[in-house]
Amino acid sequence: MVALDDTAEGVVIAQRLRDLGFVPGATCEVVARMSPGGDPMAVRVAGSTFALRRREAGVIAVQRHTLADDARAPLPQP
Amino acid sequence: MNGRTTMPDVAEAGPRHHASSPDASVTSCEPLRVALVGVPNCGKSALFNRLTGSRQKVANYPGVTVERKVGELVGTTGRRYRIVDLPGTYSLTPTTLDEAITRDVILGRLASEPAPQLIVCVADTVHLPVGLKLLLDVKRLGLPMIVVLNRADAAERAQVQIDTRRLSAELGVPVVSTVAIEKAGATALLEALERHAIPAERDLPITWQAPSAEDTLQTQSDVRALLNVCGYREPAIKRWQRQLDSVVLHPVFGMLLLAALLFVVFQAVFSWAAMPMDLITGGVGAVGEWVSSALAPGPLRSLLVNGVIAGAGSVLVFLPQILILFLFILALEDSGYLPRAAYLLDRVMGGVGLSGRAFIPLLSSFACAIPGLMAAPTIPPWRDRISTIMVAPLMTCSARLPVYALLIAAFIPARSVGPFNFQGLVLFGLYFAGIGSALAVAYVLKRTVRRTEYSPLLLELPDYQWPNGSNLLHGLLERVRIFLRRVGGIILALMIVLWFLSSYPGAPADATQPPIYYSFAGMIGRTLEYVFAPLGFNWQISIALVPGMAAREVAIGALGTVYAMSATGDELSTSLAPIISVSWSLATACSLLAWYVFAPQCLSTLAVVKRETNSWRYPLIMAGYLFGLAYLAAFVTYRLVSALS
Amino acid sequence: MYSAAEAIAVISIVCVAACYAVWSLLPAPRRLKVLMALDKQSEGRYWLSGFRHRVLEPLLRRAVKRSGSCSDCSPRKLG
Repeated sequence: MVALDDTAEGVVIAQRLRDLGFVPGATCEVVARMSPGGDPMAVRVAGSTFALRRREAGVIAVQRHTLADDARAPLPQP
Repeated sequence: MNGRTTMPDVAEAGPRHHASSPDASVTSCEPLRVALVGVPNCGKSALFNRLTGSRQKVANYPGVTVERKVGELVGTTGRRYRIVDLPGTYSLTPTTLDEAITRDVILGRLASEPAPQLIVCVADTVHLPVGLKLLLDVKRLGLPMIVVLNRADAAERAQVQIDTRRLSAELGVPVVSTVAIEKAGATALLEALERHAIPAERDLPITWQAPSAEDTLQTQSDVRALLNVCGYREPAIKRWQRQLDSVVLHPVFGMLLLAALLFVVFQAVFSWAAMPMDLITGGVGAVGEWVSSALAPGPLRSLLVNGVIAGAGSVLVFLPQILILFLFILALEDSGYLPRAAYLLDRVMGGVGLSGRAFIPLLSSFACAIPGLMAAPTIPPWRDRISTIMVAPLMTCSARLPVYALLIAAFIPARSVGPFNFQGLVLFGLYFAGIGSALAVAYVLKRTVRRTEYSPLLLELPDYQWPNGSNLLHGLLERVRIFLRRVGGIILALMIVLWFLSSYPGAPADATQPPIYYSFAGMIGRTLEYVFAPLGFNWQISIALVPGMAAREVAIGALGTVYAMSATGDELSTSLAPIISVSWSLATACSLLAWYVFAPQCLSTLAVVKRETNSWRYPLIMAGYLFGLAYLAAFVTYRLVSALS
Repeated sequence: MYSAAEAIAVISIVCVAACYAVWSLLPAPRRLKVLMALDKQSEGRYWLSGFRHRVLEPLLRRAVKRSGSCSDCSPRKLG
């Protein structure tokens, strides 16, 4: 995960996402999608799973990892 | 737009003058005020139940419908505690009314709730990161604090190890591990409470500023540093959980599973409850016979037999069915399935203008519309909330279950259709009619009420777990208590009043009908019959609908009383189903069922809507549209069934 | 004699039930208002002090706690 989009309309969502652990450097993983577009989708971050709609998920900018990179690395050092 | 949609400031709510608790001044030694704070699903409520047992009071914060749970506790040293279980929150920056309450109580901004002297911050050990984040937010306020790492057993199974000593040293506050669902689970917390010195009183309210984005990022990096230091490793999801999720959250299989689950619930309500219901019917009948043989004929005997026993007794019979329904609801809640159902339905509900978040308030409306309405404020935008409020009464509440169950048992044959019980199928259909019409009404509202703002879903999907037996038992006992209080309280009182109205004035000398026909109740019923005759309702049903406004199941009690009074001679009739099955036509029964799917037969629901929306407009609209729908549906049903049979 | 006693018993049961039904159907804020009015009326009348202390005070205390809530259904929130 790279950054959160703090535009005017996303500010409340972004704040709450940060509270939930969506912060730059965190690893998140899509567990399930309701539709091909992913609305809503289930995302796992910092050991918890959350249901997000497309719109919330749109606030999150991510960098794709391959599965090998992803494999349960310890949390990054601060 | 309504004033309460933006971030609510609850500090000014409620009647202030009486708010300071009079209890405190009576006793010489005031109890230590403790607040439980934690994220949702951290087992905080289980811990609260464990600590306070039955010595708890559930009410609301004045002026707002957020649940306030307060319990008393006496420690081994004789020190007394007053423990308040605050609504779960992820952060002190609120997005809902519940979360605003939590913040304001902690900060001492609320006039009606004394500021806590000591905070017990509960975190789920397995999901420590999110709990630790909240913990650090709260700790910044500088309040005395004890940290509880709950679900230590689950952490052990997930191989999550925490160096609690190190964590305690880093935070500078006591840290204890608990397993709230176990019997001795709260002992460690209790010991820590007993050891804690009595904190000094503080200046109130505590000043607090909403953290900026940078502050939160800083906190999150502190969280990560702490997690590293105390050895927390994020657990991998269990394989079976992952596999289960791939089915449960699947767009197709998940939906099928949800439908199947609901179906099983309604089947069980009928097939499991038969035996206990027969036992209760037999018991009520036996008591009635004993009373009528012990007392001489006269008004007192009639009051007891026809009013109390036939009236309240006919409602009592439905306790087993209500308990079975709740057993399933509580088990699904405990297992972590409910938020997943909300996830599955978000798209469908979004299509008609409801949020997936509305699923949980709407689901609790299956118990009673009122807690459903009270949970509605947790849906932030005004439009979503008003839609949820307007359709909540269409969800089939447990008070409708006795009405449905009685009519189904009397008119629908108990044969099996394939592997299914036909009565269960009909019940499922009635519940489905409620849900379907709710979706339709929400769709109409979506087209008419303008959209104000967007509300995020952001719902946690907790790990699956086996429902905890003692939790289920606690919940079921609570339901038994509520039900018996209703039967022994308002229902009993109304039955006695109805008995009086149906007994006086007595029949004239040349009476051809039973005395009730000439009584006050009979007059009311015969007047209302003009309105209800097109629906196929006779005067007995018309009478029962009036006290049925107080609560739906009262109508059943009223029918019990009315038919007991209509019985000629001294013959006793404490069991209602056989009487109505011979005296009503199938069309009348179906019409009454259709009426009950819609009719706003519940004054308290309308009163709560008035309070929630702060105007008479919405309850009036609601009553109007529901009565209209009910009349229409019953009329069409009556005509259709009459034509077919 | 017996029937007079029975009539009194039945009448009082019905009256109590009617009062209880009306009382419990009143919304909590209205109940609080009624109690506060009663409290004001009985203020300073010493022969009512026992009633105020024993009946009115606990009722008032409960009404304050409940005002703004539904007393019948514990709002057990799901989820």
